[in-house]
Amino acid sequence: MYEKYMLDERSFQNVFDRGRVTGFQIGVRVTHYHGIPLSLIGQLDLTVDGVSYGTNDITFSVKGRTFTIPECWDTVDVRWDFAEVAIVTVKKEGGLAPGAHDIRFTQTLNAYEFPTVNSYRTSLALQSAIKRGVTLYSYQQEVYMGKLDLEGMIREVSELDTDGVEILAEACVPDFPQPSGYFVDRWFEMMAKYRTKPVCYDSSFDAKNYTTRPNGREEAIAKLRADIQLARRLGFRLMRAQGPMEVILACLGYAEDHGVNLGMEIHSPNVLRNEYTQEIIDHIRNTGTESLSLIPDMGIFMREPMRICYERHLRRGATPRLVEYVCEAYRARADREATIEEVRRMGGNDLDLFWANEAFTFTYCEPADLKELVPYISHVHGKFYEMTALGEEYSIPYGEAIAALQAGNWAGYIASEYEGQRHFHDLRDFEVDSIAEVRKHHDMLRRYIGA
Amino acid sequence: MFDSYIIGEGTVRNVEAASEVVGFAFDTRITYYRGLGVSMVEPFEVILDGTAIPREDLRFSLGGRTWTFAELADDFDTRWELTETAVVTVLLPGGLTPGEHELDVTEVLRVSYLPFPSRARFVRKIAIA
Repeated sequence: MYEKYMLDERSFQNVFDRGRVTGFQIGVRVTHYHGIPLSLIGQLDLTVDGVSYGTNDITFSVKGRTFTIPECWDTVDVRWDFAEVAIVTVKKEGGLAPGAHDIRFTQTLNAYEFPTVNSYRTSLALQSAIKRGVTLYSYQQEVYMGKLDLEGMIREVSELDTDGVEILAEACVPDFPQPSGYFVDRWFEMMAKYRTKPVCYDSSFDAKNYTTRPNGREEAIAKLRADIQLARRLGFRLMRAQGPMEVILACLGYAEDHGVNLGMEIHSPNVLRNEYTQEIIDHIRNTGTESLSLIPDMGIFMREPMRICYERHLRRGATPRLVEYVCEAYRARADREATIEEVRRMGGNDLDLFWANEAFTFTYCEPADLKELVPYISHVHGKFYEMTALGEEYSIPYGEAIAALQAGNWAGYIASEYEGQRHFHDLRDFEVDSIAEVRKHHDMLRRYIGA
Repeated sequence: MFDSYIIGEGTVRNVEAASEVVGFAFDTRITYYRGLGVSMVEPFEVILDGTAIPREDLRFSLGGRTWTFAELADDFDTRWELTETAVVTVLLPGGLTPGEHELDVTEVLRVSYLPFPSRARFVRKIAIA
């Protein structure tokens, strides 16, 4: 029974470990009308493209834990629930080639006095290990206007035929940092209802709570710990952490104890390779910690200055030829002070000078350099401002970045981060449609990821 | 960002206490993408018909409580959430006289990662009956 539901294509992908392809995995459901303790699993046989993998070749993962088949025979207190997708993993250096594969899966269970054998054969497409997600920050406009609530945003993510959810707790969790148990239950209900997963939790660093002094080190550590606790409570294993390295490192042990990885964003004004990222990479290499990582923000690859930003300045009276002059200077990586001086000399007004300064706060570095950082990257912030009619981000070469990640065998989520909305806040009668913008972003991601 | 929400449209109104008009008030929202502790909300800058209102004459209300901005700077527990409406009250004997007025309000937030506070401004023309 339930043979045709045994295999979950969405979980069929290669398995990566810090840039190395170590094997492949596939999602499986129990062929019974209720869940069973693992001890009732007799045998699981997987044949892929004619090659068979049995009791000694596979591991079985459920409820966040991994077992060999003999270990399953001895496990009576962990259950493989009805309709639950468990993961069967096969060690195979290099994994499987992209494309369709012929799969036969046979489940032998001891739920009755006699063994039941259920078998199913089908062709499944290997899913990309680079997955699409959304940070709910992308929908801030709709949240602000009361058009979308938390459930609405999670529903929108599932409508993109994907499952990765990232949140800013301080934008959607009531009674932060200690929401009620009722909220936490509702959170997991929504994750189950929309088949989404908590992928990344964004914590924010507060430095200026007090007028008389900056926040102290102990206060910063206390806040980060509160965020780590809340992230764990909501099922997140990864956090975008913010703050000075001293505070981050002071919390690393605490994060590790809670099973939360602290991801440090590479965000403008930082670039991929500088002192800031080197310090993080060095710490990871020197200590071997698995609780610290990098999260590149795609906004560091601004090849073009942000068009919707200077269009807003033009609407308010900036001089077209001077705006273009600054854009040219940005593209040419000219000197910022010299550019501002030149704009002043050419009679630039306040807005022209503002743009001359602002354009040079954008960052550019080579997307190809992502490849060698793959072992340290846990997550990618898919920052975007404007999707063109041709389905590209106006300023950011996404294709090159994704190609570099694929070349480095990266596995993880690219979470769309729409930040165009504020550049239209001067227009009385126009509102962005963040849902449509994120959809366009995912169409582009699908194209470049190849899935 | 979200500048037009600094003075909620249609929310400017006179305020009475003991049958006397003591000033006027307007609804306001946080001009940020997440909630913040109220101690990070600097005094609003309110200019009525070209005249700046002293900050001591301003009050900030949220969730049924009211603070002066001096008191707000010392409250480290209360949060102003992303979707919460607050009220700014301006103490002004007689309030807004009938006719047209120009209300120019700047909201200032002491945001952590900017070297200077975040400033957002909105000017609204209002008509009082």
